[in-house]
This record gives sequence, C-alpha cells and structure tokens, in this order.
Amino acid sequence: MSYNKQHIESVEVRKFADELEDLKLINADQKVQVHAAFKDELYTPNLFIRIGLFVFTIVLVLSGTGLIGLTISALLAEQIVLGFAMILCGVALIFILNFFIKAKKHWKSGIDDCLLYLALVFIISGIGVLTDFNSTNAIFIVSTVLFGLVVWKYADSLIAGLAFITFVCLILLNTYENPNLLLFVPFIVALISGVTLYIFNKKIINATHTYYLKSFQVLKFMSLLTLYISLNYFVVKEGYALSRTMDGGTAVSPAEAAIQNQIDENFLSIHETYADTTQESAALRDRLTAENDKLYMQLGMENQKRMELEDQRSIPFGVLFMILTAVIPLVYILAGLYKKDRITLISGLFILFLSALTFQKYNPAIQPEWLLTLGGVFLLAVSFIASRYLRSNNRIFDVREPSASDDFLQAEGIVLGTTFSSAASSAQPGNQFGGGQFGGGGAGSSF
Amino acid sequence: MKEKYLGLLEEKGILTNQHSSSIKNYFFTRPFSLFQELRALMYLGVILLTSGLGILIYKNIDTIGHTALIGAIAIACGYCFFYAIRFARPFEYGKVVQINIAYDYILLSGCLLFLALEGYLQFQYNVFGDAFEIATLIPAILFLISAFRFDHIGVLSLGITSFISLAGLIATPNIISLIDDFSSEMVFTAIGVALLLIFAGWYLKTKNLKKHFTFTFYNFGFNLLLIALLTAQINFALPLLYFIILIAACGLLFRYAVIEKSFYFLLMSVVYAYISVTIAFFTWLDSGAAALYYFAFSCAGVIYFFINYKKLFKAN
Repeated sequence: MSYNKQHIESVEVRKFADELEDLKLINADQKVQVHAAFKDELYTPNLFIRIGLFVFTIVLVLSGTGLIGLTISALLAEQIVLGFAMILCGVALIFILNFFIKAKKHWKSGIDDCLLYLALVFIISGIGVLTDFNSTNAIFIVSTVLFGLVVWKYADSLIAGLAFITFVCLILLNTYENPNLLLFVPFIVALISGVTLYIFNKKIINATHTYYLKSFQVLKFMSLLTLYISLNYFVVKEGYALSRTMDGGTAVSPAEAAIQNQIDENFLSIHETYADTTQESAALRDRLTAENDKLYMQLGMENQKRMELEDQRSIPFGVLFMILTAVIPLVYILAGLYKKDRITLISGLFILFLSALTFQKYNPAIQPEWLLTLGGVFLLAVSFIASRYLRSNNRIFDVREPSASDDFLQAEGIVLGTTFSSAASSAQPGNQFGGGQFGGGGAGSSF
Repeated sequence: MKEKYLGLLEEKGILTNQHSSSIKNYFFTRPFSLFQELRALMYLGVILLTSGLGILIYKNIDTIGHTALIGAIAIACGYCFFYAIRFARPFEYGKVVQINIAYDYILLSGCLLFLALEGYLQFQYNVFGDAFEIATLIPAILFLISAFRFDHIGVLSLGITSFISLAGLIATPNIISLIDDFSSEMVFTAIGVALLLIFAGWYLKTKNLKKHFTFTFYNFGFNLLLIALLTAQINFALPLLYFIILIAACGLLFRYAVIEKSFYFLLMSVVYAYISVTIAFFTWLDSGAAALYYFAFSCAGVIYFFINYKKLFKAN
C-alpha cells in the first residue's frame, strides 16, 4: 500500500477525539492532548480546494501530455507507438502520484485522486488502442485486474466500485452469449454476489484499520445491489429478450412476412411503371403507393402485436423472480434493522423503490400518478409513525438528530457542514450555481 | 475500530482505563440512529406525494376547476404565513432559532406557494397584464421582509433573486445565457445591482445587523459582478479596464475569504481571476502551441498557489 497507515490512523484518532468531545465524553483538555499526541501530517485540504486542485490538475496533465504529443506527433501516427506512449504516460503519472504521496504526504488532496484516475484512463485506453478495441473481453479483464491492484495499493473506494462493476460485466460477457448457460445467468450472478457479500461483510467486521474500510463498504453495497438486480423480474425478463434479439433477432410472424412480401412486390411494380410515361402507369403508380402506405401501417400494427405478445410471454421461473423482487427489499430492510447495519438498510430502502417501479411496469392497472401519490402517503405515514413511536421508545433505535460526526453515512458533503466555517455552511454551498427561483430551497435546516 | 482507538488513547495515558471502558460502554449500548433514514423517507414521501398530486390535478383540472385550485393554494399559503407570524420568536439582530425544524419549512413553503399563486393568477387571469415589474416587486418586498423578520436564509435567497429579476435580470450565474444576448445596458445594470448587494452585505456585517446574511448577499453580489465584468471584458471596448476591475474585485473577495476562512469564496475568486487572465491572454496572443504552454504553466501556478496560499498569506 502506498499511503502511510500510521498517518491515516492518526487522522482518524483525531477525528474520533473530536467526536468524543462533541458527545461530552472527554473534555477539551483531553482533546488537545490527543491532538498533541497524534500529529496530522497528511495534506488533506478542504473540499472546495480539493475540487479546485482536481480540475486544475486535469488541465495541467492534459496540456502537458498534449505538449509531449505535439513534439513527437510524427511518431504517434503509428498505432502501436500511440498505444505504448499512452501506457507510458499512465505509468509516468503513477510515478508522479507516488512522489506526491511519499514526499508531499498528500491524501485525498484532489491531486492524488486526479493523477490516479488519469493514469488509469491513459493505461486502459492505451491497451484499447493496442488491441484495436476489438476484444471487449481483454479490456474488461485488464480493467478488473488493474482496478484490483489500484484498490490494493491506494484503497480508492470509487475504483473499488468500478472494479466490481467490470468484474460483473466480465462474468456477464462470458455467460450471456452461451445458449446453454443463458438460463442460469441470473443465478450465477446472484451466487457470485452472495459470495462477495459474505466475504466483504466479514472483512468489514474484522477490519483493524480504516485503510480499506471504505472500499469494503462500497464493495458490500455493490454486492447487495447486484444480488438484487440479478434476480429482479424486469432485469431478467429484459435480459432474456435482449439476448434473443442479439441471437440473430426474433423471427417475424407469418403475417408480417406476408405484408412485407406484398410491399416488396408493389415496389417492384412501381419501379416498372417508370419505364413508360403513359397516363395508366402513372395512375397505377399512385394506386400502388397508396396501397403501400396502408400496408406499412398494417405492418406496424402487426409488429406491435408481436411485441406485446412477446412482452406477455412468461419467462422461466417467472413467478420465482416476481416473488424475489418483492421479498428481497423487505429482507434487506429487516436484516439491516436487526443487525443494525446501515449499508444493508439503505440498500433495502433504495431497492424498495426499484421494486415498486418493476411492479408498476407489469401492472398497467396501477397508474403512475396513483403510485406516486399513494407511495408518498405511505412513506410519510411510515416515517411519521415510526418517529412518533421511537421517540418514546428509543432504547434500540434513536430518531433524534445525531451528533455531526456519526457513522459512515455522514458522507463527506454532510461532514463538510462541521469542518467548514459556520458562515458558509449556513448558506448551502452546494447551491452556488443553482440560482433561479428555487435557489434557496432547503436552507436553514441543520444537516 | 473505536475500541482500538480507545486502546491507543489509553496507551498514551490520555484516558484512564475506567474512563475508556465507560466510553466503550456508551458506544456499545447507544441506540442505533435512524434519524437520517427517516428524514430521507420523509423528503422522498413529500416529493412523491406532491408530484403525484400535481399530475392528478393536472389530469382532472376540468372537474376541479381553476377557481377551486387557486382558492386552495391561497388558503395553504395564507395558513403558512399565519403559522409563521403566530409562532415567530421575537426579532433580534443576531441569529434566531425558531421553535422547531418544521417552522423553517413551513415559512419556505408559504413563500413558494405565494410564487405559485402569483404565477397561476397571471397565467389564468392575466392579473398583472404586462406589468411584470409589479409581479416581481411584490414577492421581492414580501420575501426580504419575511427573511429579516423570521431570520430565514432560504427566503432571503428567494427575495434577492426576485430583487435581481426586478432589476431586469435573471440572476442565474449562467455565463452562456448572458453572452448569448447581452447588451451594455444589461451588463451595467448587473454591475450596479451587484455592487448594491455587496454593499448591503458589507453594511450588515460592519453594523452587526444579521451578520449571517452577509454570505448570501456576497454570494449573489460577487457572482453577478464577476460574470458581468467577464462579459464586459469579452465584448466591450477597453477590455483592459474591465480586466483590472475584475482582478481587483477577485482580490477583495480573496481577502474576505481568507479572513472568514471561507474556502468556497477562495475557490470562486481564484477561478474567476483565472478565467479572466486566460481570456486576456488569448485576446493578445493566439497560437496553438503557446496555448498548451500557457495552460501547463498557469495550472501549475494555480496548484502551487492553492497548496501554499496559507504560507504566502502569512509571509505578507
């Protein structure tokens, strides 16, 4: 790993001390002692400075590589040279990145994130150029391995998520087009997600250092999502339909074929009418053109009828997928509450929404506006009743406003409110370019 | 993780064993907070309900009737303001914490409903005719007074926006829309309004009247001023003059940002100044390779500045 674990731990301990002081578990004196004993040696600027550094680093790197490219532009005409040059650029960026981490002690500074992402872009597109973008498989394999290495070295949670996505895509690519395996693809993906879920959950529970913790949490979240998505009725159905069309396309119905034939014949006759310029042939041409217009309309209707039939065609284990679509969100929510596991709970709430959409899609009787209205009433009722009930029974669950530095979910944007100056936080910095009539919405509440 | 940290603190002799175990006990028995989740559900519920009802009303407008709808909006809006006035804490020049979280939202809803009501009346009955000035003047006054009386920054933003609209400008900090159809009148109006807003913010700060509103005034004021100056620099004669004024304004903003430790304004001042310098550079020098050199060195300079501005500032 590249970053200094000790330094990161110091920063974490300092944050922990801040939280303890917020909760009045230690006094200010003790906090000062902690800050004296655990030095903050890493360079992690404020979020806004980080954004600025990120953007300016992108421009700097791109214009730098552009300058190099200009000087050796004659060589780059060769595809192989271009590919290797890009990979070389990526590797050079990695060296610069390591310099910033080791010598300048950057950590989440905007520069290090940016260099890492740009290096990956350069290396992967370099490999793409070398293989002529022919082999999707090669790109995905290289990306997965590369992302894995990067996560191991730099513990970047965004790349961890990307690694998981490329990994799942790789599995899909290699099972999807195989007609023998097609039926089992949902179960294969679900099984693999289940295994990764188990592994990353263990990793989180047994973690002794925060270094990889965020990456593992992202991976767990992704595993939970893919486990659900692979078994979602809509995804499975559309997946099968997609593979059928990729499989040489679905056969057109006999009715459609007959109409198409008639249209083609008419076209031939129309073509022939151009040979002579008599009045009759002109009349014939008009008649045939009109007929073709009608036939096209019929063809469209037939086509739609076939699509509708196809849509109604049940998929293998359809009922099972329907049940799973309904049950998995509830299982996640209950498991999240029972285990007091925020990631599972949040993903459960999120996919509950997806399940609602799925059922709406296949039940035209549920009109979208009623789904919205009733769903809104339901959610309001649940949140209102739950907070009313839990306010007086808060031994297990708490519904009061927590302290600013609570658990992982207090995303960086939220924590910003406490690290940033009070003046700025009260005016919702996220909205600076919003302008317009609703520019101030949501202000005035605490985070 | 927390246990490990507590162990470390014990090792360093900062916490006693007893203290550490009582903290451990606190975290172990602490109830699991559902605050964020329930609040998210509530937000989502409100969004779904309002959009669902919106579509339902839209589809059934023939049976409901416009008058009934306008009446309903008016009653809801009136209730919101009634609630705001009835339960308001007494006026103070400092920050005022209202009775509960819902209070701020009710006031904000009242203001938004007022806008909806006004728009509806104009659309359906053309109440204001062509006198759009009056249509923007009323909410501007109402919102600014409400913002100061009930101490609400969101309503203040709404009020400032209406005020800027009143001055003949839509205050979206959108460079493209401004450059697309600008006129010198519009740009100078914008500069005037922006200076007024900045002055208002400065005045509130120095006189200690609602000091916390200064950020909002400065945010609108400086964005408007700098965009107007950029437009002037690109399109008008004497670009050098506007360039110098813009850099001076950025300098002022930067100074304020450092004093107030506001990283947002810091980033803003640097980015506007950089855009202006870049425009100046390309007006006077136009060449492909030079552009790459310019970007490479200037970006390196800005990055150096971001990393070292504290040192640079202390040295002065």
